[in-house]
Amino acid sequence: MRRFLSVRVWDLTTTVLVVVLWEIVADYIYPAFNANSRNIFPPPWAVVQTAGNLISNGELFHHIGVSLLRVVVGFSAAALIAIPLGLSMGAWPGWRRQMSVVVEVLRPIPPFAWIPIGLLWFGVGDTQSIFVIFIASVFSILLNTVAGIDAVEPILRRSALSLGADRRKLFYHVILPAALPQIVVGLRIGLAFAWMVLVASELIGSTSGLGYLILDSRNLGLPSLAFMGMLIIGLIGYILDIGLRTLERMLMPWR
Amino acid sequence: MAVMSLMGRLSAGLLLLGILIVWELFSRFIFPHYEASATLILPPPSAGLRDALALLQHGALTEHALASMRRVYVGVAAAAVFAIPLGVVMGLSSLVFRQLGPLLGILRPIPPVAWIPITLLWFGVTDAQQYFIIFIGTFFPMLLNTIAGVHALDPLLQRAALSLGADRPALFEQMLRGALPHICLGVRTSLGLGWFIIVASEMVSASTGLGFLITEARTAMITERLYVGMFAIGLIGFLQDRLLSRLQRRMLPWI
Repeated sequence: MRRFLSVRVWDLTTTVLVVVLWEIVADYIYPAFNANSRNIFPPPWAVVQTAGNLISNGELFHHIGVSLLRVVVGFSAAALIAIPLGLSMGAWPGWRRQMSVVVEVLRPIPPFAWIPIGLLWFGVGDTQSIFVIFIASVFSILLNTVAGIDAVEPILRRSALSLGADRRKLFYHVILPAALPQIVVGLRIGLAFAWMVLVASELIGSTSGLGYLILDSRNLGLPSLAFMGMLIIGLIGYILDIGLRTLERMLMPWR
Repeated sequence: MAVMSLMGRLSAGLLLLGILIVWELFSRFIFPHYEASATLILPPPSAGLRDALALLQHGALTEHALASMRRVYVGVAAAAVFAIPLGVVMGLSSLVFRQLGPLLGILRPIPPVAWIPITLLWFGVTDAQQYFIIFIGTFFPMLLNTIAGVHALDPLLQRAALSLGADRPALFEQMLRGALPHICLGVRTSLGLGWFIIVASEMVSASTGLGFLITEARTAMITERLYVGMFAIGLIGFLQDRLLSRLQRRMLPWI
């Protein structure tokens, strides 16, 4: 929804009102009914203060760095395997028929469901998160690569062949550029999944990263930390998507 | 001919069958030679089958599956009740759209899983917490699809209806009909997504459900039960989507 971004100042009225109302309720109204209110429903200002503290002692950047590294490694591994695999499935129909059955059996399993087995195989830590991120992004990249090759118009293929292109040229100059938009769609979906699954995998089996940070807030009884963590997770997810979109425009200036 | 096509279909499963056989033989005869805890790390598929039958026999599998399904359906239904009317209003009124846009733009990129810690603080380990996670996770796809549905209406149709003497209720009905395909898509996406999310949510905080089943299997080190849980989750998700698309074709054949 790019349209959510193109806001005019007046459009922020409701948002500002909601934040102000939240501050008033959390500071003055709710505490009158519940002495424990700060531990349940923190005001926005407390969220800002928590963010300030964590930024100044560097803890926030540590967790962000750990999370980003996991996503980058898992996602890159998925792309490095899924794109060539998808291309090979597009090239050989027999191989594709066989692979499709395997993929169709595995694909409906939610990536989250791989977390326990990942934990069992790799224990608590980086490898587990990377494994689950890999699983989460590999299928959408693979399926979209195959779909991208399917979408290449046969006329383009035939005209390239009749103009004397060999298989190599056909692949690099016709099929790959034509399939690229769909591959990038797969990458974007895969990255969104990867980010979501990362949070879950850090919630369940990790001692660092943003997912761990928000779970820890619960143990510490610091809900402002949870809110801050959620906003940061949302923001980074958003920035990652913008990054891929920029890449899309750089790779395919003709679109 | 029927036999031929059946044979053709079955032959596509050769690779899958090969993988299963190699896995079975590897886990039974080769892996135990090198690793003392082989049956713990990678039990053969036949062990999973045996465990599935045992779980089915004393009804545990069905019970957990029904618990998960109930959570998803309640959460999605609650989200639909709010998201679809709001989507219609936001689609029709550009003022509401522009005012709520920034607020929703902030909340939307937050992965539903990231809401788990704060909702645990609010609701504790209850079904209400699970409903809330499903609600948050499926609200946005339904909202965005409804808005898109209303925006995609052909203004020509509206003008035609007006010039043929349609009153406001008739116009509204025509608008709802026009937006229905998008709304249905939103509901279907949401049910699939809800099924994904419930697994993660139950892994962190629940004492029933398929997500709980697989985390418990990990803690108890019954690896073959992980296979069963993962496969059951995948199968139910797949069947649910099939059923929905069939239902949609039956009830709304013009889509």
